[in-house]
Amino acid sequence: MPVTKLISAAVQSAVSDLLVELHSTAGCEKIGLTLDSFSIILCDVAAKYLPSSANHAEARTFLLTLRVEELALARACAGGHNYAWEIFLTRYREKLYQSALRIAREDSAARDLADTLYAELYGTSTRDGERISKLASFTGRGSLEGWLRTVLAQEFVNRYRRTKRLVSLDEESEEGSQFAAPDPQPLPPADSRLESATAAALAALSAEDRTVLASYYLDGRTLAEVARMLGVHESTISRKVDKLAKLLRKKILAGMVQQGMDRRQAEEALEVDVRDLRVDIRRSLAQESSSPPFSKEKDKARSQKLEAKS
Amino acid sequence: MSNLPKIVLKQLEAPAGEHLDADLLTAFAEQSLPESERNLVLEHLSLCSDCREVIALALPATEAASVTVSAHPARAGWLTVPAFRWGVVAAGVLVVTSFGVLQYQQTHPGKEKQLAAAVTPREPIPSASVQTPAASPQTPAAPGAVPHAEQKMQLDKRVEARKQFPNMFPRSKAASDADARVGTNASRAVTVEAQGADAAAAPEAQTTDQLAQDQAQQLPLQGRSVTDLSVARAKDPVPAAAAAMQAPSVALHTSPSLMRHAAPRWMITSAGGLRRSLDAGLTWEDVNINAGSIAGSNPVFRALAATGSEVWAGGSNAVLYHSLDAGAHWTRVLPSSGGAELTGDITAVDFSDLQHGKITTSTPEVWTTADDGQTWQKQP
Repeated sequence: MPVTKLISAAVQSAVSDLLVELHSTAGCEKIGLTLDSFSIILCDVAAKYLPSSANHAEARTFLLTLRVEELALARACAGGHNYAWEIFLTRYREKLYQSALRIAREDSAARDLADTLYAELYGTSTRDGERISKLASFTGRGSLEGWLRTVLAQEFVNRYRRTKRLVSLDEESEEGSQFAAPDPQPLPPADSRLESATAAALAALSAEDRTVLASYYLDGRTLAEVARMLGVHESTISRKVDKLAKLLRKKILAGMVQQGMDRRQAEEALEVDVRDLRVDIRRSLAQESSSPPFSKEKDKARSQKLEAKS
Repeated sequence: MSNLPKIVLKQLEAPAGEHLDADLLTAFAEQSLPESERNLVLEHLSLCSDCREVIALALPATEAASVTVSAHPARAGWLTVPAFRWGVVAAGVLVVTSFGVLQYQQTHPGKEKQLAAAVTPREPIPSASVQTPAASPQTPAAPGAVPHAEQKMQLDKRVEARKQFPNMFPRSKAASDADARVGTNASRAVTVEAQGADAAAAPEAQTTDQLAQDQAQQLPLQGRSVTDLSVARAKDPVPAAAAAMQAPSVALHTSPSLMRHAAPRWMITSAGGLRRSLDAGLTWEDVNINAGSIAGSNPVFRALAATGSEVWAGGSNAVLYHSLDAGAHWTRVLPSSGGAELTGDITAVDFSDLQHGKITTSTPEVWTTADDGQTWQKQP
């Protein structure tokens, strides 16, 4: 992974302080990572996540929270060390497949997903004729097992989006011009006061609260799922969602009143709005997400394109 | 849960920038990020549905605890239907009555013959011995009329009610005659009870029988002996009552044998697995839907509906299974219509009869079928 950031002196001194200790806890000897190469890895990781202003103590704390053992294993695998691969496979092969099955929910898709990831882990993608393993991007912030699940999930989401696009293209050609007809009823533009009041009310919420709302109302996740995603109890989320929905309503109304609408007018604006709520959820969920795919290369291509456009 | 104004949703849905790397997402899900970084991740997550989906998908295997609640709403509903409340009360009274009659006859053995002789000629009480729970598909007409009839009953205008709904009381005349006879032979208290029970039970006989049975299978009866009992009682109020008057010894045998032939009962375990009982809830066995496949791949169920030997089970991640043979074989069903597929967790499955069913999901979506699941329609 190319590191563009300069490694600060604070990071370097923290790494050299802890290097010997971390090198031995990580069991680097057995998997062929020298002190030097491990030092480079640690510096890379620290430089990637720590702000350049981080001081020695912060860098130290950061390094101590890394999962160095798994970091070393992943990087040794990426470097093609046989024994490291052996450990990796005994530990993760079965889990990888089970996770894929849980994500894809269907055997052949799961195998396909797991196989694709294996290929990437071994390093089929070549850059300048070099095989680069996906494991080289693992940084030990979380567990390796969790990282593998996340990578599988990213791949799955990417794929699901692709197939969805293919299907809709097929449908389009089957249905002919009828399908291409523009949406007969474009949504009427919302009242600008309603819009700004909403924006203000949302902006006042914490990122966590907005994530909760989006997961529950936009993604249609269950309270239990949202709770697990955020690592809190289901009842906490349940109370929070209710509270937030009421709070938002109140704030939006207040915001509109503040902008000169009278109370009834404001309430009406919001009522009209609620009436076709369900339709709109479906519509917005069906929309193709505009965010980029997960793979790095595509990210880059995309951002370059965007830059070129702007 | 309260609805959100759609403008809020629209603004929540702003496009996100570049995705977070897998390391950060993992560390976030594992709660190992420092506060500042956690907030950065949340800031992105609040804007990016893809990353939210990745986190949700990548969560480690479900702990069993999170599913327990879901089966309950179905149960909460049914005793609140007035007809069932009455049915349970009626059934309770009937049990007491038949016990009373039995007691009476045991203590007055001399009069037993007399009573039997009095009732026997009135043989046409067909429901007494033959009526099997599954054999009353004529429900639809009755429920509407029942509350009406009940009101009358409460006003103690039984006679009028009978005149008004003559066809609904096929055995009422015979029964009330029997009442009278019991009245002459048995103690006064028993008579009153018998009449009351008869009054309440007769109009509901058909509905209660069928519906209670459906419910009995739908409701998992999670360790609630009360529910168990009342369902068992509600199941055959009429045969019990009639039989009790005809010959007490029959009443004692009727219920168990009816139970034995009833379709299997179903429940959902706290871990989301299916269990089946073939002996009316005495013993339960796990039902493995995709036996033979890899462990950990079993779907997590949240709702089920059974009509006779047909079973529908729905659960997390749009999992929907159908069995035609009381759970011996299962097929996965993926409701879709016009390119749309059912999404989310299935929270409720209702089948009013073999053909007509309704599925509700957490998304929330409502899907219906009118042909036993061959085709599905998504409700707008």
